[in-house]
Order: sequence, then C-alpha cells, then structure tokens
Amino acid sequence: MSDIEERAEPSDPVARAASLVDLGIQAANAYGREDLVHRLRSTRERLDAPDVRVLVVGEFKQGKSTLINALLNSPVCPVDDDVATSVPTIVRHGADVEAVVYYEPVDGADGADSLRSEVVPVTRLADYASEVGNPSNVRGVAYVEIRIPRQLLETGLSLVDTPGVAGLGSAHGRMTAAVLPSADAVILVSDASQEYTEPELSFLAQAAELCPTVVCVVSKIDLYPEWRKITELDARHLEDRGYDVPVLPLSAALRRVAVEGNDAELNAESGFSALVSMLRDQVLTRAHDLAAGRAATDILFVASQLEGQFAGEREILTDPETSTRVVDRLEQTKKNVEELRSKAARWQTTLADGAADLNADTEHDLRARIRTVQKTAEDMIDDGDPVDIWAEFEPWIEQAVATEVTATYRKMYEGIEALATQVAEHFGDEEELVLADLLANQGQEYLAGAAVRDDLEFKRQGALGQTFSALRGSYGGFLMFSMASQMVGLAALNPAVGVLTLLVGRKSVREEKDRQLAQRRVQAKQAVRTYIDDVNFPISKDVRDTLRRVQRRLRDSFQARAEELQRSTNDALTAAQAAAQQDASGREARLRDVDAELERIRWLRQQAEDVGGPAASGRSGS
Amino acid sequence: MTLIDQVRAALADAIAAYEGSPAARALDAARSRLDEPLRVALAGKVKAGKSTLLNALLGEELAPTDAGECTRIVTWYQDGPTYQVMVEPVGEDPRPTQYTRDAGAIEISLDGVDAAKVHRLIVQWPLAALRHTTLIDTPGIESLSMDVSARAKAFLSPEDDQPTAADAVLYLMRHLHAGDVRFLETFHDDDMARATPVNAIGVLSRADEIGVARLDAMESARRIAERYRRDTNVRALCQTVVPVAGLLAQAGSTLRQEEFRALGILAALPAEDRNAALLSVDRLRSERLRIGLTPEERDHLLLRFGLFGIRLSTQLLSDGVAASAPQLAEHLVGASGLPELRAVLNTQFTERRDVLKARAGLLALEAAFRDHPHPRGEELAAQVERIEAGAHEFTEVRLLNALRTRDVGFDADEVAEAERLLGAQGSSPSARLGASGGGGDDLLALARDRQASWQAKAESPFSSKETADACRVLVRTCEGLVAALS
Repeated sequence: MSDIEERAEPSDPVARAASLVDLGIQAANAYGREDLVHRLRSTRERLDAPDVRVLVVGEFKQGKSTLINALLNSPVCPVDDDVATSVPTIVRHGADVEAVVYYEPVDGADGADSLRSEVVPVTRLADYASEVGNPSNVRGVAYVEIRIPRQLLETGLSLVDTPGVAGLGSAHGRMTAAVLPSADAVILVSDASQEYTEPELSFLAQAAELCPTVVCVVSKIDLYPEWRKITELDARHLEDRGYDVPVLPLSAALRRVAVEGNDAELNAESGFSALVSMLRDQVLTRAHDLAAGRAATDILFVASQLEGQFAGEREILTDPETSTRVVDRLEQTKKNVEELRSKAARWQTTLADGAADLNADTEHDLRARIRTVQKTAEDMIDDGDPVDIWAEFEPWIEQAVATEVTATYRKMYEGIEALATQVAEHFGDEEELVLADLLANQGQEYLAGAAVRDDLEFKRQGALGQTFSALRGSYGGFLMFSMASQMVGLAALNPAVGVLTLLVGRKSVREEKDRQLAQRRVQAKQAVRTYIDDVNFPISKDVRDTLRRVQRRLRDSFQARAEELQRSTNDALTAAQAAAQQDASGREARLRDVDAELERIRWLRQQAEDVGGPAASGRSGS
Repeated sequence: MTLIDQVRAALADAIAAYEGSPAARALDAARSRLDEPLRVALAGKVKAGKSTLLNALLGEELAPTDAGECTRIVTWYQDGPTYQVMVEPVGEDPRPTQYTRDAGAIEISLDGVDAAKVHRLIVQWPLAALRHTTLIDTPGIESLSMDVSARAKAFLSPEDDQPTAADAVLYLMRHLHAGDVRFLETFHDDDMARATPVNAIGVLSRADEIGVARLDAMESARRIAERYRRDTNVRALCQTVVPVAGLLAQAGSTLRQEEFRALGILAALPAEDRNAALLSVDRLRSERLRIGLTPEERDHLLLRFGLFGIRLSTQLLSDGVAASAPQLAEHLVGASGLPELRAVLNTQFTERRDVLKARAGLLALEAAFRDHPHPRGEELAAQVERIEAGAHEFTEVRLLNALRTRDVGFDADEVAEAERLLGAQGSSPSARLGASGGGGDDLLALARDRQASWQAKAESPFSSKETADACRVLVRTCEGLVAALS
C-alpha cells in the first residue's frame, strides 16, 4: 500500500466522550448496576463506530463511482464507459474486503426490519450493482454494501454511490432527494465539460436545504482545458443563488497515477487531498461532535440514576428524624415505578394510541397531498394536448409527487418526535418522585432528551431542524431509491395511426384529430393514475412499516428506562432503610463515604456537560 | 409523373388559385423549397457538440464553438455564389450584416437587433459540402436560459400543423438522458415532415469523452451506440445511432500545417515523457514542460484537438502511421466516425430527399387550405389527398415508422428484411434486396422470390389484418423492384 492513504484520526470530542463512557462503566460496575453498564456499553459501541454517511450524487457519467474508487485507492465500485451503477452502493470500513447484496422485500412480505441478504465475491459485484450485469435492476437488489479496510473509513465514514440519474429532474433524482436528510453530507459530482444545468442547480437547492454539508465536485479536470472557467462559472451559479458551498475541482485519473507513483505533488494536483481534508475536517468532525454529544447525554442519565440511589440515604444520614418520612416516600415511589413497568402503564396507552393516530394522520396526509397533485395534473391535461405539454408535464408531476412525499415524511417525523416527548412526560412525573429533591427539575429534561436522541438518533440540524434520521435505521431510504417509478413515455400515448390513415377521408381528418385528442387525454390521465398508484403503494407501506418499527423501538426503550428507574428506586430504598438502622458514628462515617461518592458522580456529570456542550446540558431546540 | 412533379403541379395550381392572398407567399416558398438543398438541422442539449460537428461536416471552422453557450440563435449555413451573412429579425426580411472572421469561427454583428428579436441568421458560404445540404445549427435545449431552449423547440416542432423548417434532424447526445428521449418524443409525430424514426438520426457526439480520452475510447463509444440502436425506445425515435468524436472530426477536416508541426514536437518526445506531458491538460500547459511550444500554441492544440486528439495524433505520428499533414488528417477523420455519419446521412436523407421534400410541400398545401379557406378548396384538397394516397413512397415511409414504433406481427428477421426492402439501408434495388453483388437477372429473381414470399404471408390465415396490410405494402414494393429490374 502506498503512502498516500488518508486516515481519519478519532477526533478529540469522541476520544474524550469514550474515556468518559469508560469511567461511567466503571462507576456503574462499582455500584453493581449491570443494567446501566449494559446501556453504556452500547453507547460505547456506537461511539466507536459512528455511521457518518456521505451521499455521492450527480447525473450519470459524471464519474461518481470513479471518484469513490479514487478516494479509496481501490476499484471497489464497478465502473464502465457505459452507464455503470444501477443500485445504490454503500462503502464502509471492514477488516476484510467483503460485499453483501441486500434484496428488496418480495411483495406482501413483512420485510420491515430485515432484508434478505447474500454475501457475494467482490469480483462479481458488477453482476449485482452495474447496469451491464443487472440492467434496470432486474435482480431486485435494494442496495449493496461493500466493506473494505481503509483508514479513512475507520472512524465511521461511509460513502454511498448512487445510480446516476438520467437528468437530476427525473423520478430517480427526486427520490435521491428524499434520502438527502439522512445523509451527513452530499457530494454533487458534475464534470468539467460544462457548467451546471438547470436540473443540477435545482437539485442543489434541495440538497442545501435538507443536508448539513454539501460539497460540489467538478470532476475530470485532467481532460477539459477550460476546467478553470467551468469551475468559476459553477461557483458563480452557486453564489448567485446564495449557497455557501465549496467547489472542488478533481481528477480521479491524476489521483490514480499519483497513488501508483507515490507522487504527493500530483496527488495535490488531483484535488483529492482537498476533498479528503474537507471530509475529515468538516463532515467527520461535525458528525463526531454530534456523536460525542449523544454519549454525554447518556452519561448524564446514568449519573442521575446513580445520584438517585444516594438521595434518600443521604437525607436520613444527615437528619435521622426524617427517616420514616423518607422511607415512606421511597416506598410510594417504588409503587409508582412498578406501575410504570406494568403492561397497563399509562405511557403504554399513550404510545399505542399516539402511534395509531399518527399512522392514520400520515396516511390521510399522504392521500390528501397526492390527490391535490392528481387533480392539478388532470386539469393541466384537460387544458392542453398531452403531446404538447408532456415534455414539461412529466418532470413536473414527478417533482410535485416527490415534494409532497417528502413533506409527508417530514410531518411524520415531527409527529414521532412529539409522541416521544408526550410519552416521556409520564416518566417525568414519576421521575420527579424517584429522584426527589436532587433532580427535581433537571431529570425530566435528561430523560426526555435521552429517550429521543438515543433511540431514534434524532438530530437537530439545518435551518428547519429536520428530524429525518430515523430513515437511517431502516431500508426506507433505499426503498426510495429503487422504487422510482417511471412515467410512461409519450410514444405510448400516441395512438398508432398507421397505414390505414390513408383510407380515412379528408373531411373526417379533423374529427379524427379531435377524437384522438380526447383519447390522448384519457390515456394521459390513466398514465397519471398508474404513476400515482405506483408511488402510493410502496410509500404507504413504508410509512406503516416505519411507524410500526418506531413504535416498537420507543416501547422497548421506555420499558428499559422503567426497569432502570425501578432498580434505582429499589437501591435507594434499601440504602435508606440501612441508613435508618445506623448509629451516630456509623452515620457519620457513611455520610463521608456518600458525599465522596456523590462528588465523584458530580465530577462525571461536569465532564459530560463539558463534552456535550449545549447538546447535553438540556434539550436544545424545541 | 414523379411524386415531386405531382407536388410541384399541385403547388402551382394552388398558387394560381391563391394569387394575391397571403397564402400565396407561403406556397411560393414551399415551391422553391422543393428544388432547394435538403435542410438538415442539428439539435441537442447544450454542449452536445452541435457547432463542432457542424464545422466537421462543413470541412471548415465556421461556427463559433465557445465553452459557454454560444449558439443562441438559429443559424442557417447554406450554399451561395458569394460570401454573405444575413440577419433576419422576427417578422422582417433578411438583411445583410457585417461579420468578421479572425481565427476560424465567424463573428456576426446583429446589426443593432436585440438577440431575442432575431428570427434567424443566414450564413451563405460557397462550400462543396453545402451544395446538396443546408445545415441548420439550433440553440441547445435544456440550457440555463429557458428562452434559448424554447427557440430550439419552436424551430424544430412548431405549433399547429405547420411544416417544420427542417427536412431532417441530426440529434446529438452525449449519452442518452431522459431529457433527450423526452425531447425526441415531443417532436416525434406521425407527420413525416417532423422528426420520425425515418428522418432523425441520433449522433453519440463527443464520443471520445465517453471513454475518458483513452486511446480505445472510440471502441467504447461504438459499443454504446450499438446498445442504443438495439434499444426499442431509441429505435422508435431515430433511424440509427452513430458515434462521432466531433472535435477530432473538426480538427481532422481542418488540420493546419502549424498544428501538424506542433504535434510533431510532442510526438518526438520519448514515450515516457510524452505520457507524462499528456497526463492532464495542466501538465501539458505546465511551464516545467520544456518543449519548443509557446503557451498559446499549447492552448491552441488543447482547444482544437482535446486531450484525446493530441494523444491519438502523437501516437499515429510516433508509430509512423501518419507521416504528413494530409495523412494525419485522413487518419483523424477516419477515427472520428465522421465517414460513417456521412454514409448514413447519404442513405437515410439524401436518397430519400424527394419523399422528404414532397411531404413538406403537401404540408404547406394543407396548412394553406386550412388557414385560408378558398372557394376551390375542396377540389384542391382532393388533389392533395390523391397524391398522398397514390404515392407508394409515403406508404413505405409510414410502414417503416410503424415497424419502428410497434409490433405489426413480424418476427425479428422479417422486421429486418422489411426495413431493408423499404429502403432503410439505401434505396437502390441491390440495397433494398440486400444483395451484395450479382447481375440484374439475379436481382430480378430475388425480387420475384421476395414478392412471392410476402404475398404468401399476406394471404396466410394466421396473419392479422394489420400484418396482412403491412405485407401487401411490401409486395407492392417488390413489384416496383421487379418492374425497375425487368
């Protein structure tokens, strides 16, 4: 392997968060809280392998796969002079080179949580992921995952190679836009042969709105004498539209030669070192900060649970007079928490009802939105001749449908977040009792924050604060890639007139034309209906599946939370009862110990707040 | 009377009938058009390489080819006795205007007319290439300025049933984008004068870039063009798809001595140094590359040949394949795919010239009858209808279109033979019969044999009505061949 291999060092906040999590694990172990240890272990795992997803998009033949291959110095993505990539391909770190093909669920199967997958030899990848081996994705591949040992990917970076879109304005392009919010960054690839086209710019507009980091790459600069001028023109187009987006000129061909000859100067000339720094310094750093923030929130929760253990005990140790009152209070709390754990707990009802309502609302919202598009489309068809308007009509309806679908998803995720908050409120009340004086005000915030961030990986980002990331855990995002229905072409709309037209009398030609126009309108409307059905079906299914999955995950995590609370309460009660039995000297000694323990926990809390910044010291945003 | 003579007579009749009315002028123009060279429009998306290919076809660097959007106005390149450039504002007559021509491309002054108000530019240039064909450069579609795109569309597929200004269309694409298909579909129409599979040819332009300027780039381009040719969607839209490396074709057909010298300097470098120098455009321009070429000369080479053209030229020179400028020019043109395109243009357009012209004339007549009702309208229209119904040429073209766009009940071999008989590979009897050699008697026997075979299929009880109709058209074609060969 050559020296030109970029590595991505674990960033500072992640390293600090990791050592804090380790301390938290030690502490939880020391107090015999294996439930909290377990919880922090999974926090640690997520921290070690954060998923930082970078989407590589662009019209076809702009060199997207070539860019990924050049970035990783390995021909992992199949490339071809003809259209190459036919299914999305995720490239991520792995100890060995390995390729896994994930298949789309068969109709009717409840494939919400897992897709059928198959390990294939990397050399045969082209049979699954390329247009030659798998034309128009006849094999029904949902996506392909490639694992490869690369230091650049080691800290969680994954690159997603997307099928080139036949015009970013096409259905495929719009659906790519639908997965934008789940990406940490988007690289838009456009070659140096020409400046941005209108579809590329409108795609960029969407990307800039939905994704935290957008990088524009001008590819193949080795080939085009005027690449500087094109880069400038592209940058000006971006500036004119008010996007503060970097434009990086690149050459994969130069990069390849640079790596072969270990030529650092040529590597710089290829522009790839700039892209790598960009990914490392901006994309990874940002994602790592977020991951560290989430870990810090977990530690805060654990700290509060540990502190809660000592709450009653310390009160009694300080003032034995209170012992009866404190024990009574803790017993009451215990009862409340047990109730929280039971199947009949109120939060369970809130969650179940809320999820059902959300499902109905979302489906209704989707139907209403799509119906509006259909109505407008039919009016347009009635106002003109489909043959004349089709060229504009087709991209219009694809865009309109995609916009509405995106809006539905956005609304659904807002609904999910509201539901999670609502459920957490039940805990807030109980928690106040559990954690008594010590945590009276903060606990609720921690718990609610933790529940939401932890289990749905919600992130607040971008101007609109989208919360789309739940797409990530599912195949939902990829379903959107591959489902992209095509409108029927205009050729199919043209009633075949054929040889026999000659026999039709001159006079009847006009009537015949009117008849044909009417028929074209009928056919066009039918095409619209078919298209809308084709979109509607998989989307409603995905909505249902996503909601079911989210509900299940919320339930499991709140359940786990209830169990942890119960543990904390039990321990607190036992400790309080023990304290009540102590004599004066024992109390004094124990009080010193407890204060020392609390001091240690407070220190941990302080550290976590430092690492997490605003993300951990309470819920940001609303 | 030939088809075109019948149309000419009908036009003369109508012109007399419409004398003094506004329709007479349009009809008069339609009559002159019958005898003018065939009008071939070059269409395609922005930067598809329209102007470059146009220059290659002209054999002269005339059309401006900037990296920005340059062709914003429809420009006609036609033959004429003198060099003249005219600007035609919307709704006015064309008037001569100033132009300059420094290094290659001409620069036209719009004579104070706002570019948006210019209907078209006419470049009259005495060139052999324009003798039989008028070439029309159209603005790129899907360009950032929407009105430029709109102009191209308005030119190529006008509203109503007006005959289009072009007789045939070369559609240039870099790859087949959905946008290209949509565009071809919009101007695809059952009317023959619009682009149909019969009068449109797809050109995979900038073919050298498909294989990212590797020396075997053209091989890749041929493979991809072949895939498009077999694609049913593409078949329904154009006759065939030909790969052409426009820049190479242009450079080859207009190669200059000093360019040959400059390429010679590069070719003389040791192979390793040369490869390093040609690694990227920047490396070739680098000051550290000390060769006897000024920065201007290097820029010039890059713009005229592209990296692929320079790589190929220096390879040809250092291998000794080309020893002189004319030899190099020949090799470059040969490698560019231009000869294949010319051959296709010849069989597809030039040989079918009369049918394409006649159809445009008939469309002009129909438009006149519809828009300007005339007391003798019924009678004149009946005459047009008689011509249309009687012309077997039209029937052939319609069947050819039908074979391309839908299933008429033929298997693949039958489709191939039917297309050939209908003149898809050339109109001569031997081309239609698919006979490479053989004397007149052999051809005659072959024609009789095919006639009998199609007749049998027409009469077969297994043939649907549409299949039988299609077979009868082919029987009639064979009869014509038999008559011509007898």
